[in-house]
Amino acid sequence: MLSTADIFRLLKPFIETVVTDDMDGVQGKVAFTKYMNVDTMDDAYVDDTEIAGTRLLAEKSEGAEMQLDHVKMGNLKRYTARTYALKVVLTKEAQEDNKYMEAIPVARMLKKSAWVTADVFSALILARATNTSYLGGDSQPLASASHTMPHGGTFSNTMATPMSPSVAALMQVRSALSQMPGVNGIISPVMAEKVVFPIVQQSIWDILLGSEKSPEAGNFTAINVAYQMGLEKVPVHHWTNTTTEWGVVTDQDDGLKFKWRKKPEGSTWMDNDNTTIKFGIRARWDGGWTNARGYYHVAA
Amino acid sequence: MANNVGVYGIRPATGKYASSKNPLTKIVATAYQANPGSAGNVDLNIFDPVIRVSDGSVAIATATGATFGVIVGVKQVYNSGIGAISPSNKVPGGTAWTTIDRQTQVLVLPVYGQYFEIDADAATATTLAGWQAFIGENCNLSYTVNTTEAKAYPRLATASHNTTNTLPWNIVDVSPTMLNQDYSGLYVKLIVQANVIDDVPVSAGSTGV
Repeated sequence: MLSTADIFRLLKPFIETVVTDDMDGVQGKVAFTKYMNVDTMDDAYVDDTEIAGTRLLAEKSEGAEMQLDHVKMGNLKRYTARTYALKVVLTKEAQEDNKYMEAIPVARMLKKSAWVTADVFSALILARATNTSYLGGDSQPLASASHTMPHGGTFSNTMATPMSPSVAALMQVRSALSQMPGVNGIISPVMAEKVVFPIVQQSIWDILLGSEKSPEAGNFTAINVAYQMGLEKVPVHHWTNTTTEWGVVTDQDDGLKFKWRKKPEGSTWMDNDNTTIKFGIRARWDGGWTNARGYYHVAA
Repeated sequence: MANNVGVYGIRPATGKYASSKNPLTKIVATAYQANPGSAGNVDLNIFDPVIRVSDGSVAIATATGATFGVIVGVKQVYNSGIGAISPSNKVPGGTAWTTIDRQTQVLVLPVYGQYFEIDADAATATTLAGWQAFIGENCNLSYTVNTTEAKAYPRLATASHNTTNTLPWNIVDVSPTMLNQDYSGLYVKLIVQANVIDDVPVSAGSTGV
């Protein structure tokens, strides 16, 4: 409950500046919209599944019957909308006596909280990439060397010997992605599009991806392969469990997903018994990944 | 391992049976100095737990004893420097008053029928499942007194988790807050209810599960 005690310095008009969180343009400042595939869901839950298509042709002898193949259904990934909400209770006295109402824009604060919560939720998907308590449709964590395929076999979306950010590391990522098996198990090259990383690595990636020529000692006139890859940099502010891990978002559909069931919706109501004003905000969403080929993780 | 953001005190979460109850106005004795566990002098801050005192006032609860309520606001504090009642978000230790109109008054939310959120004082568990295993058990509080800030920093002493009925706080759930980001870090937030209650009727505590 926000009472006059909580804002006691704002009860008289002699404050020069009230410092609070920046609430302008909150939707544009979140990171998750840049690395998650954001869309909406129309039901309480939605299911994604995968279908492995036909594989390679077999030579057929004249007059002989052609070989049979089949299409196989794979894993199921269910997205179940969960509700997130928060409220602030403001006493009428605090509203009446506050000389700096613009310093406590409760509705805007709650809106920021909602968008930042979604941002944190998405960052936790990356932070828990190797955590076996958080599994996808194939019962593997996001980053695994044992993702399953419907026709059988496994594929990896994680660097076997993790490397710190470097040109060589990106070369290895590109090499691994170029040999990624598709859903049907046949190599179906994947392209890296974005590099995602804890924001503490920002400067490293600025150098790596911003230099036309090699940024590393040895031959500064050499071509910088990392620059030529044309990767978009996406620093993730709330990826805080590590300073060394990083990842690459690829061009594969249905990789990392964030699904709004209900975008943040604020409400205000009075409690006349207690003479308080209540501000609330509520949103519904779920997130995760359907196709692990949409993300490649480096647990450096 | 990354520590979760620490949040001060025992925060009202939701009402147990319906919406959160109304806070009561309670007095703090003149010149009262909070010193939880004799660890150092602190102010009374919002979200500190309190017990009833025989003179009708409230005082900071002990780490292992009963709780009456949690401070959720400060109604008035006498400021001797200016000779007037001042609004405040805390009660400075040793605040003296002599007349009724200068009484130190705080708003206290009784613990009966209320769930609270509190930070664990240690990484006693390291996974969500590990923390969930404590649900139903009882714990003591702990105070990490900071005399520079004059704050008591009450937290849940999760290492004390047990079914013993005399432990004053019962773990109801792991808080669903997004502030719980690393279950192996410090300051995991838990939802608790008071188990040993200083109120009418007194609750001597239930055995945990």
